[in-house]
Amino acid sequence: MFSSRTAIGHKSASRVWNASTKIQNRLISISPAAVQKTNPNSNSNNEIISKKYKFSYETAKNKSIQNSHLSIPNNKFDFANYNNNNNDDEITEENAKLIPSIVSLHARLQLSPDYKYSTLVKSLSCPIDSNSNFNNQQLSIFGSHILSFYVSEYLLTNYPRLPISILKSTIDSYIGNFSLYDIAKNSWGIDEDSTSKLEKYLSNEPELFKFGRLRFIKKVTKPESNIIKYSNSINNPFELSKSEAFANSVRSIIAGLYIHSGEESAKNFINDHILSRQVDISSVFDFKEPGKLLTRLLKTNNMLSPTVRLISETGRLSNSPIYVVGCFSGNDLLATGEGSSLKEARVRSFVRALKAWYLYKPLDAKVPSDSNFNGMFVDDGEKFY
Amino acid sequence: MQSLIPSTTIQSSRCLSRNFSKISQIRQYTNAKISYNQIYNKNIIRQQQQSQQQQIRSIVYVRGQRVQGLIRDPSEILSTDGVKYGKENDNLKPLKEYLNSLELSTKIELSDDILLQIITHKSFAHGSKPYNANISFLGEQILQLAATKYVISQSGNLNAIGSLAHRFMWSDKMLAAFAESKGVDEVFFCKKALPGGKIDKLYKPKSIYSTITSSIIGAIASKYGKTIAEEFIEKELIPAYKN
Amino acid sequence: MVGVNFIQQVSRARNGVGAFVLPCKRITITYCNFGGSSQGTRDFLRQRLPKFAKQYPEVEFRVLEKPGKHPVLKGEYTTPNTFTSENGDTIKQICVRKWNIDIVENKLKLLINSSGKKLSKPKHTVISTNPSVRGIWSPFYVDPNHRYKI
Repeated sequence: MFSSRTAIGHKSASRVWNASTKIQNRLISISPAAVQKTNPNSNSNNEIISKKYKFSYETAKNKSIQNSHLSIPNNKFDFANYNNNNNDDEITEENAKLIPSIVSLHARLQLSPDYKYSTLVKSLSCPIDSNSNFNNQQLSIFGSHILSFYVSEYLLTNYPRLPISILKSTIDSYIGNFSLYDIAKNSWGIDEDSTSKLEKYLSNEPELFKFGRLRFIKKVTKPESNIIKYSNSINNPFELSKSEAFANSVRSIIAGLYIHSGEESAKNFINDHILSRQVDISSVFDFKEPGKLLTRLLKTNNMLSPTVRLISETGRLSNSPIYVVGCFSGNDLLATGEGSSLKEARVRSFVRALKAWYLYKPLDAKVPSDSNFNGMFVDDGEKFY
Repeated sequence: MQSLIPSTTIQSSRCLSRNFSKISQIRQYTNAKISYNQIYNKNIIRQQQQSQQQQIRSIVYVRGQRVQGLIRDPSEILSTDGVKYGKENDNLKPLKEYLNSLELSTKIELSDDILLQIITHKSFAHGSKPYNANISFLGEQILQLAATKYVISQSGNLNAIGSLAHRFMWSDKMLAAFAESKGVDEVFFCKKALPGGKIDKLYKPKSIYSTITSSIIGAIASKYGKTIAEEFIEKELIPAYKN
Repeated sequence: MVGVNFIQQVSRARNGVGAFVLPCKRITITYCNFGGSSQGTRDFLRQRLPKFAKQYPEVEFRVLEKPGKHPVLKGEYTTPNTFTSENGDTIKQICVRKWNIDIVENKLKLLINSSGKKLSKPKHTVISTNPSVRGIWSPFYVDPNHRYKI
């Protein structure tokens, strides 16, 4: 009896348990509704990582793998000798070809014939238990590195003056979990495997077909009402939110593209499917005190501090006046702003002037991975006050 | 005295005559040697400006120990560990020597401006000088991708991805140690958060010093492209991991 | 950065800018094995379906027998937020009762070429997610000779 109990409780508690039976009785009397003590050691490493990073794409890149079936050599940098004791091929290429949704997804994404169908199946299977290694965990880490590099080099060359926080936020809006979820679900048409075994049996569906859908353990954030969780166990480490699971499948598909058809085609694929989507970078900015920042910016660029002049106005005495003001540095007009009060117009002109600076875009910029790349604009770094 | 007045003064006085503003700032630069806790204050009063009823504010700079509420001498802000900011005084020498010693397929020749930018951190002089945040970001991205590619090329499968050793390849600890081993961190302009503004040359925060290595990669990539930057990583950084 | 916050966004799809992904992902053909209304559908399934399905590898074809029911073609789409089935997918259904083999094929083509969106009359001549290239109007844009004089 002791052994079964101690298996549930964490280490320190088990030691006390064996020492005296008194404490054991007390532990039993604790109501299941009481707040459970969380063991800091039991938190999975990935949870700590997700707290460390602000953006989901960074979390995806820095995930760590704890695989019990992996044998690690003594010299940890000897990457060739990382061995996997499990059989990797759960679904063979022949079987994967029989799954209609996989074949149609392959055609819909216009993947080359080199791209294996079994890789697609693997991309769609998120880790479910620690027994099998047939999952997209490592593929998705690799994919997120590829994605992150190509998206950031695109943004750094095309918008060289973006402040780092804005840059990261923009990268996240291209390849964050929610954006990749939208790509997977609403543009590539990847299905989630949500039907139960019984439903599959009733619909006469072959067992193999479930591998054509995205399989993952759903993270339950809101438990159903009137249901008390009795299980003492801490969260399942394989639980994933819906968006993360879909996003990981996209990352894995891109990693598979690199593996099967090379880096160049992965780059083109990212250009076509991810960088072609629309992100309004100018609305990512949220200035706290634009006037102060603009003054600082002009000062570091040896320009005269901003002066605001009224350019035109209409309906000053009416209930809906409109003012157009210009923000000048010396004789140079930096930006104009309109508003229903002078103050509003003034602030708007500051914001426009700042955005005109930060959203500078070189004409026909080449990215460092292009073959005809010849230098890029390197920014001095954002100004702050 | 006239020559020591910073250019901003001249601009603001020009501005004031045009805009008829009532308040102007005249920055006065005291060139006299200021000893411990001593403050020199001098007002320049111009008869002409007084007749125009303009207020003159003189600004006092403090040297030596910091006094709360008083502005420090710019020359003091623009130095770290006693090294003055600028391209002179052999500040770029360690970095130049290192880049010259490289044996890549292309000779790495970076301009002095970008070399100075590599060894300037965001924390230096309140970000008023060009600093390395953007190039180090680019370098970090290339390094992460190159490290992952290296792991795959070594093993031929994905088993080692996400392992501790793989993630160590772009860690701050690793990058800072690399910069130290090559001696490029001898001159580095940053602001170390030490109590009382103390100077400690041996105190090298890893998260700040790691930006030197990543911005070297970024600078190479920004001029010569990704392939040369990857070659640099493969020939320089990856052999360093094995030690 | 000091003084600048960021507002997070999600990128918006522009299908066809860059890559084009066919919105139609699955077509389910239901038929009855003996009903007269399914005659044309049955003919299509026997004679043309294999060739037709090969033409559209992007689309997954499903054939379901529903005895005693009229034949229905159901398209499932990746486009969100229009007609939705119980699992959240956008669907479009066409009943092909009593229709012959050619019409069934045409209706299938219609389903495949559809975006899955609800049909509606466009209210604007230009529909775009991009901001206007013209920018904000200023009185100085008007030629001085044509300005309104008081």
